[in-house]
Amino acid sequence: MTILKNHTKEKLAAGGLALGIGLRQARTVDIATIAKTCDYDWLFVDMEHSSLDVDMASQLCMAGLQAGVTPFVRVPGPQHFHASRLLDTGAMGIIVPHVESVAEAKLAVDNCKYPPVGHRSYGGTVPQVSFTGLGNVKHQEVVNDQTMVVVMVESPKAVDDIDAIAAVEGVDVLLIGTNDLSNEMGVPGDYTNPKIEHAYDAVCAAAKKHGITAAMGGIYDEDLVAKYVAKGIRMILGGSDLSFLMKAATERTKFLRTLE
Amino acid sequence: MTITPNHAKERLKQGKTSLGFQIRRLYGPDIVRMAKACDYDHLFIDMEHGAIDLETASQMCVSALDAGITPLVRVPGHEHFHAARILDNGAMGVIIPHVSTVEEAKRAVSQCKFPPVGHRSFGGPLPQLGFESLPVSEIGTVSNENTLLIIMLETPEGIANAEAIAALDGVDMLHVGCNDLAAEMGLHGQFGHPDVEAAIGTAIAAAHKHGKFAGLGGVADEDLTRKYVEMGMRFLSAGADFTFMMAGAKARSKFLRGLGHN
Repeated sequence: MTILKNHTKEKLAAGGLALGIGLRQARTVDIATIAKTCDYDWLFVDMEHSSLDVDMASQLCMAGLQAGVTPFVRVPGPQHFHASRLLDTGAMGIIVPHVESVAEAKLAVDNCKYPPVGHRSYGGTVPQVSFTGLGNVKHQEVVNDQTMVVVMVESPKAVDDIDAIAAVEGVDVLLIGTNDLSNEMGVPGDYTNPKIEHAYDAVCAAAKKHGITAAMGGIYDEDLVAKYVAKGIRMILGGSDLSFLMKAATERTKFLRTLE
Repeated sequence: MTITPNHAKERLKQGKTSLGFQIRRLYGPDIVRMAKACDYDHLFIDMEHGAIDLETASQMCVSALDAGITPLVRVPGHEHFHAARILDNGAMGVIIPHVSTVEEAKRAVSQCKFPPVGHRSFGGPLPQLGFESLPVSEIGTVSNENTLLIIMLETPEGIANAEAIAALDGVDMLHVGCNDLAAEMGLHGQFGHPDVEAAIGTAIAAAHKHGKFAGLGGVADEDLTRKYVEMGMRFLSAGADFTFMMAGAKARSKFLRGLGHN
């Protein structure tokens, strides 16, 4: 099979939870296999908050394709070139941060999907179909189906417009960026605040109504995660290479310092 | 003061442990600050088992000088350029793997210490000394004092020669590589086996007899680590970037899978 499967999309279609791992420190391709062995379904290659450049992000995506862990890239801005360059070189999904309106959601779709859904430019064959020459029409149909568009909900304005954003054709996932959302709501870090819960309810309801996926990032408390999964969240950013590393590394020094 | 102190060596001289953070797969200058934030004393930049090249290793070393965590590099082989190039570019010590004989250890001293201790070539001002143009003799003296030469013993032959190796002027530490040593002894993975324990004891005794430090790598088990620290191990390779990351990542996915919907 030369057309690579979007493992995460299939898992979500079957009603499963898709677990993601954020990459902001990794710079070698073996991280994809490591993520797979740690039982993650997708990579969240973060170009918003890291120094990763396009070339390196592309290599991480390629490794994700090979390892069977779906490569998603969070782009640093809404411009077309951020998304298209990574989609042309290995990403199976684009995560657009700070989407607040229907227009911005439509722009994300325009950037990520070929016509007739969007206006993505066709740059020839791509690694996601193993560089097979499928012909222009078949290629665009296959790759559109394979590619996921994730819009991040990180402000009260986005929550207010969530039903209309969810209705935009081509949007596959609504991802709540809980950190920034709590900041913008004036309740920084207060993830149990009723305002946050309301946002989760609204996003889950909109996703359900329009047959798309609700996702979360930024909350690591186990009880809260369980609560929101029960509300309908199916795609979860489990943590990042950085956070996992520091947690385990600090636990180790805590023990070793007691030996002095 | 432009001369960067060797924080790890200072701790070891006071009888304290120096905790090492191994860098193998998640590299770049920022990992240095993370290791510091996680309370490590030295970096163990692994050019033996990682794909890290000299430039990247150098960047991490120089970052570490500023971050206050001592940069040490495990070199991939015994050629002079392995040790010399990284010592010229930021490392405050090198870890020489798979040393079994006195001759091999002498060669390491020759490569890593300036005359009169060894025959390290002088390449000009060093980042470890703030690139100050100090007199050559002073650079030699200060660098020799600040550079940790760590000899890894990973074979029964190396353990048998531990005392003669420890006796060499210029060798600062005997570091037992427990994985390879146990495997070479036919006791793969049995880090608590009496024979492995005896070998570790031999290395510690040899180091202490000659006023050198003792180090241990490869042992993650807490009880065994405690035991070997009580026996005298102070320089500890606590774990690697990717092992820490995988431990955290696995614990998290295990919890999330437990929520169902698989």
